[in-house]
Amino acid sequence: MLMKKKVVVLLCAMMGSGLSLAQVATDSATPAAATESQQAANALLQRMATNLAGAQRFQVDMLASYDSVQADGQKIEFSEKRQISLERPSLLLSETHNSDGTADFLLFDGKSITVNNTQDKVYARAPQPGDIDATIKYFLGGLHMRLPLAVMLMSSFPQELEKRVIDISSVEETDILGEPTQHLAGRTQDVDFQVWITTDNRALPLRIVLTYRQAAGEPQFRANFSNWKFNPSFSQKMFQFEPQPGARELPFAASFTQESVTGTGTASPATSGEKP
Amino acid sequence: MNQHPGKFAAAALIAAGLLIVSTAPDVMARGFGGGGFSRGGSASFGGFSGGGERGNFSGGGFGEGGSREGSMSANQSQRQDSFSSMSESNQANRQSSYSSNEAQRQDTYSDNVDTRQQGATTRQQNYTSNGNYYRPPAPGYYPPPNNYYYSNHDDNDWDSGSAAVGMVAGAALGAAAASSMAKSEAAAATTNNTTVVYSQPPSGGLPCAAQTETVNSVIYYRCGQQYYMQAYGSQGPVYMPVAPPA
Repeated sequence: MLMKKKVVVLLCAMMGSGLSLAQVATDSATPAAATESQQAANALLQRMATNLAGAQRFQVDMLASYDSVQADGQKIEFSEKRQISLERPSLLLSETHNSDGTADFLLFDGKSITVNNTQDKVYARAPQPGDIDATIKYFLGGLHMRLPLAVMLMSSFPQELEKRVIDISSVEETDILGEPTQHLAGRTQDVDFQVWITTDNRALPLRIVLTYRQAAGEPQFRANFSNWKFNPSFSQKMFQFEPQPGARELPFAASFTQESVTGTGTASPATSGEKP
Repeated sequence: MNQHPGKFAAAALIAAGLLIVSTAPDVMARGFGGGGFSRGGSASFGGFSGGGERGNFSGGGFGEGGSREGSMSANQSQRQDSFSSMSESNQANRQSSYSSNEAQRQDTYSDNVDTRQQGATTRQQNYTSNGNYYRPPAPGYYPPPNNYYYSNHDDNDWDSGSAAVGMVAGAALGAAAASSMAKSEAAAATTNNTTVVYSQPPSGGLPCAAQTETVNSVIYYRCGQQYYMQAYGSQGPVYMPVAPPA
């Protein structure tokens, strides 16, 4: 009698670059080997990530949309247009136009993090010396802010994929956004992702779709990339923050403590940061 | 009895038509008013991880996955559309996963941090010691360590948005709904023992035409006995309910 059991298999799909893929095989009595197609898919995925991670500077436009699942299950799509300008090790500018007409930007200048909302004339800043990788992790994990597909901006992007991707396959070759691409489909522990990567040496991602399969309603995040530039001319002024006239500085919402929110205990509000 | 089925049907159609006409403005208002729809959710963060089930985050957030969904979905709207307070139990759970990181930041307060921040430090240390509350980053402008790296959170889901769930969950999300986009008004309600849902702001992001008070250079917005401060959240400017100024 063949007993079914869950077997977690780590498959090292060693490709030319020595990159690996951790693959989970379930309900299988014997380890499954990565097919040539899967190995090729992983190699292309890693090549795309390695190219981005190794780029000293780049600029790209991102047209993104995502589902917001309402309490009654209705899915509403919101969209945003971003231009991302990056110069390693520590400069990043992400300018966003949201679908509701508001505009904001995020700036890492190697010394601090700044977010700015143009419409409301407010901004928030936090000191953060360090490179882009560290700053992104602090921005998301510490300040609880939002930067979609942030992992793609990190120099550790290939390693992040290695850690997370448990399955990757090639779907088909297809033209998208006017370029021939390889359509890949992969999985992490809780996200299904699809990525369309150009089949030329650049191995550029042109489209990404993320499906949060464990979230209610399985919402998606979708992004199309265009105008990739790997030798853009950045002026240093681009990465310098100058508050708008009359702008107010706010604290990050993450800085509010339990007591400041609820007024429990002997608390007085968590203050500082807001300056009239 | 029903001798004129044709007339009855016609009347029903007319009535139905009137009903549609009468409800149309409401639909239009919702559709073009921009109110009520949450922009949040796990997909909005666009992370390569969805957070999955992080056991410590039971019911504290807005739906980034795992078994939390069941308990969260029912309250999701209220959390997203309303001001609410945090669950102490949730905070306690979150405390463990964040305390070490926060301690690092606490150690890095610089000398130029004003006395208010020092007060906040003291309060946070108190909460750390009794372990009852999640302790998010200290307010203001503490400098994190050089090359600060979220190493203790390097568990493949730091970009999932679940961390945002872990912060001032109800308040922040409620405040997000309290942004200038929020137009409709909802009745105050209490969802459970730990979540107080306030009425959704009719306009301007606050539940009333707030009085503004400036105390120690900090602007407070007051609605009745409740004070608010404006802050910058993941979805932009938000209003955070706070304790009255000292």
